[in-house]
Amino acid sequence: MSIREVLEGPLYIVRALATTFKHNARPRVTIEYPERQKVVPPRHRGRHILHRYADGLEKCVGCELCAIACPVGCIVVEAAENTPERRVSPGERYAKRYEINLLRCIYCGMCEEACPYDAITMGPRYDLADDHPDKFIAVKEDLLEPLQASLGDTARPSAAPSAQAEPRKW
Amino acid sequence: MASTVVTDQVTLTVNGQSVTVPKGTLILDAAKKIGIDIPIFCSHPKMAPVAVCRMCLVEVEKMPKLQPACAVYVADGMVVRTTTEQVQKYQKGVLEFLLINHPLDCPICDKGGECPLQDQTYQYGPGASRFDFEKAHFDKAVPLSDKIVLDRERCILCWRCTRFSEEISGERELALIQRGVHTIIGTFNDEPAQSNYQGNWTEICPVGALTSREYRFISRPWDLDRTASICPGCSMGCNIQVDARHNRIGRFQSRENLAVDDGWLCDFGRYSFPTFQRQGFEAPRVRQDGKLVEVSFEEAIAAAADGLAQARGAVAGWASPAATNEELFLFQRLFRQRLQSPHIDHRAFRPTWPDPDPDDMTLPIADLERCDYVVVLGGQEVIDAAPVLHLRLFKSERRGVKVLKIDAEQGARAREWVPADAQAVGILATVSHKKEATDLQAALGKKVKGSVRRLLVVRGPNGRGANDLGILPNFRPGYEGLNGQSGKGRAEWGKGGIGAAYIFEASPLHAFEATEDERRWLSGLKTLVMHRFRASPLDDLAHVIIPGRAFTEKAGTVTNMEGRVQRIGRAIDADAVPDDWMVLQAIARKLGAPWDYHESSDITADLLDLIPQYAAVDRGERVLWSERT
Amino acid sequence: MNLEVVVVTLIKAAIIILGLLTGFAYMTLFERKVQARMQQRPGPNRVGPFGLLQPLADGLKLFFKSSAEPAGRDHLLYLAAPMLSVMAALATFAIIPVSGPGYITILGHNIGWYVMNANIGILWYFAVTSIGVYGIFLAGWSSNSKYSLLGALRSSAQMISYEMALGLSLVPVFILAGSFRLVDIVNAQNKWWFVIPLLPAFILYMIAGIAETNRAPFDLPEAETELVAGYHTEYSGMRFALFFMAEYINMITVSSIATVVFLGGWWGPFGVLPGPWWFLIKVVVLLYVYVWLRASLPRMRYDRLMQLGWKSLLPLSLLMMMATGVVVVAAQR
Repeated sequence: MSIREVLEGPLYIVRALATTFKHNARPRVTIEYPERQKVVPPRHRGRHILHRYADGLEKCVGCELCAIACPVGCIVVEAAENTPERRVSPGERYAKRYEINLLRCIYCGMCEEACPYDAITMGPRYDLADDHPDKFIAVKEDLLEPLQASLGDTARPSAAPSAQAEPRKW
Repeated sequence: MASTVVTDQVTLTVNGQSVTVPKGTLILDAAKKIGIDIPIFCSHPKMAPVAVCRMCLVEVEKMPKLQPACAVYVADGMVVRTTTEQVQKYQKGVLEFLLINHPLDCPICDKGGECPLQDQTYQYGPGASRFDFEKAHFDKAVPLSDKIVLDRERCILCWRCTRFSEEISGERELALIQRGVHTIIGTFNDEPAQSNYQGNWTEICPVGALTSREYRFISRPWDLDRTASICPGCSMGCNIQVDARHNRIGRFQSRENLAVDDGWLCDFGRYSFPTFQRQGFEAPRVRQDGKLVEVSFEEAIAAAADGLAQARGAVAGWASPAATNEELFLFQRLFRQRLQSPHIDHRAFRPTWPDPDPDDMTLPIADLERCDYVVVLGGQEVIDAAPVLHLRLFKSERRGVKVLKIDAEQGARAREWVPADAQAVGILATVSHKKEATDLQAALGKKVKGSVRRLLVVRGPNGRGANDLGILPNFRPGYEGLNGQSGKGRAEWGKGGIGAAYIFEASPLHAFEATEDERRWLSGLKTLVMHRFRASPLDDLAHVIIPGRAFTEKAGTVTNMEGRVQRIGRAIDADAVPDDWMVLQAIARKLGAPWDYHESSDITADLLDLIPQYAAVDRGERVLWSERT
Repeated sequence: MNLEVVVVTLIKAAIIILGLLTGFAYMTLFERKVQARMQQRPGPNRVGPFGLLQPLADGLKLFFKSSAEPAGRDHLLYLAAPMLSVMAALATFAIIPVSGPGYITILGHNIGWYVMNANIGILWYFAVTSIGVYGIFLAGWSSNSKYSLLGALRSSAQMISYEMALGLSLVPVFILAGSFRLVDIVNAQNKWWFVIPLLPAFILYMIAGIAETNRAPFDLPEAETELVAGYHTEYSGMRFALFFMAEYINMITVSSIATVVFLGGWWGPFGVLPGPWWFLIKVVVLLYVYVWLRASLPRMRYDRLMQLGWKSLLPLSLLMMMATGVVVVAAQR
């Protein structure tokens, strides 16, 4: 230990203290999370969204390419046939059941890549915490984009059977 | 000088590799023999070449243009090249051409994932199309019948389906309509197709043009759990593959066995799978104070064992001819050894039945093609009992076999029809016309100098096994007599002396089918145990109802009508319901039997000890009871 | 000794203990808040207004947590160790006069601003803090875990090493005040706080005190970012909380002693506030320094720590002691 170090050491400590003290005056960077949320980048990979066409029909045809592209196998799709009385998607086929296990999902976005109809995309939502594993099975009603207000009455709603009575918050 | 030996073998070169094949072989098959894959759409090994798709074009030396490998026969010294630049250019061109109007709706197409057009486009096709204008549109989702949906846009006009209905089934139901770009596939006058072999169209279609209504949008091929099994429809024993998803059967697909089904299935068997679909859990029930009460399996088995034991010596047992050999083996042991009641049967009700014997199956199915003359005694009745036999008969006919379909009573006509110099004569009949068949066989045996053999179509996928294993009042397993200790057959049960009955209805397709008289005496029994997969009309008479497993939910062996012992696989998981053999074992153990089987294969081993002939199961061969031919 | 003394002392002890426990609880909140501010965070703000009920929530959580116990422990010592630590921490505070001079009169009784006005004064402090080392060492030893034992050895070595410098750095004060009695020491600062003539001693004392309480940058016994935890590795739930409590009460005690000995105790510069308030303000300022240091300085290496203790602090405090003695003797001449 040289004399120089002995003399300069306390100076450094004082400078360290000054630095932390100066930070008192700086603005807080914390976001009060559940009340306010961060604005995510446009290509953020959050919870999935199933899209609709402008007329309210679902884009998903239930082809299961997302399910086979999924590296963790968290997607289950079962398809069914559209009938004139119950038309869910424009073509012959629609997804009767569409479930994603959000706990198993790694949010890699391969489903989005695989989708030939741009029906599924990764959305901006990331606040997915809940208190029971069962609540993380997102069914089709949870994932579907809501109908536009102007279409609320005229569009034919999805008549697919639901695994749960009410769609959850997300 | 070396002398040239004239043989019917020719040697040619494919891609520099030399291969020797018999004369009359197609270039395609010769290449396949040395592992060279030539892409095809229209060619099918069981149909005559048409060379309409042009996918298999190859370069043959000294020929000015490319030749279709599926239609050109090999010649000695031929030099074939399948991978030259020119061939590749043509393959790309053909695929690009096919895809001009083929819609890219693979995501919604049932064929997507197992589609030859998809696969070959990936392997041989161009990456992009130069045709960026609107595709031609035809009708989509046209119902050809209640079983088949036709998508005319997807059709690439390979003619496989029309050739099937012409060359394989001979029904000529499908045809090409219009010409050129307007060509479509259809039935005459757009009437619904009535063939019993339509399911095969979907399997041979190289695109998703012909699809099954039952399988429509049920699953993608990669999601299916595939299990090798045997068709539960009839005693033909066609090999199937059970394709299941999420523990539900999606479809039955054929699994080629040239000796049995030749790669085809009938619609009756193929579309019988909804019958075997489990509809939720069903609890066993026991009648208490006149009402059926739900109980646990243990309680139901105890109640059944109790009721049967009380009527020891006078218990009637009926086992379905759709049960596996293992179950039937335990069934007859339970009755003969534990209940001292040899009153067991597996047959439908008839006042009299001729005794079965091993000679009923001396004519193997595949040997029909090698007969000179085949008499189908009973005509359509035989075909209805085993529909895939029709395809074999039609194939034989096309190869020059004379086939005579007559009513069972017209044996005299057949006697005149078969000439005395016939080398090999076959007689086909259902088991109910055994007497006519044996009479005819005896008469022809005297008349012709060649061999005369018969094949009887029995009831149920394991009707032959039920005979072999002695589910009969007067035979032990292996057709051994009982030395005067025969029990009562089904026809005699109603005449008194029966105190309890155990009805084991393994398959809804081959049920007990009680007559009015039988219902009357069954309702008078002290104990009636119903062990069945699906609700049965006899449930309201039963005292104990034990739900069993479906054909697709168990493993074991079944014996088809020609005596071929084949394995069935467990495709569906039904763990809440004990396996049928476990129920039989549990009842027997309640009655003091020391049985301790853990797997159905343990029973197979015991069965082989008793009937060594059944060792054929490991070779997929027929059971030969003697060296008689 | 009469009954009155016993009752009054007990009541005073109860008040002090209650105060210290509350002080401990809010010290945790204070620390988190101050540190958060220095890191541009808001700190705990969910439980109650401004997070004021956070210590209560933490306490409840710790109280209801199950305590995992290691197999093969020495059960009696395992239970006794955390209690010993807390007891030592609490007992130290007995000698500290919170205010003064003189008494407050309640119901005709004259009551001093301290639990005990012992003439050995500051020696009590040295004696009792040494007992705290036992708590730490026994905790490590009785846990039957090599991590705990090694952690305990490390802590004990550190505490014993710095006790020396801690004690010696206070000697100049005794020389100036001429008494061990803390009330006398405070009274001696009536005009000038001892921090002015004895600034080097004050700094030596604070450094040694921080090391003695295992706080950053001398928090090697815990080193929660690097090691498993040290002597209390095998403790959980309320028993762990007791060690935690002891550490924070020790911080308050070290700050209080510094206030009393160097910063003039209850004496305020303008006399506008009553004595206890001055005392409290000074203690809080010192505690703020504690937290400030933790937010600013990285942890020391262990060999550097020992070097600092034995090679720097000890000789420097001896030097300070001698210098003070020389100056005092020279001034008396």
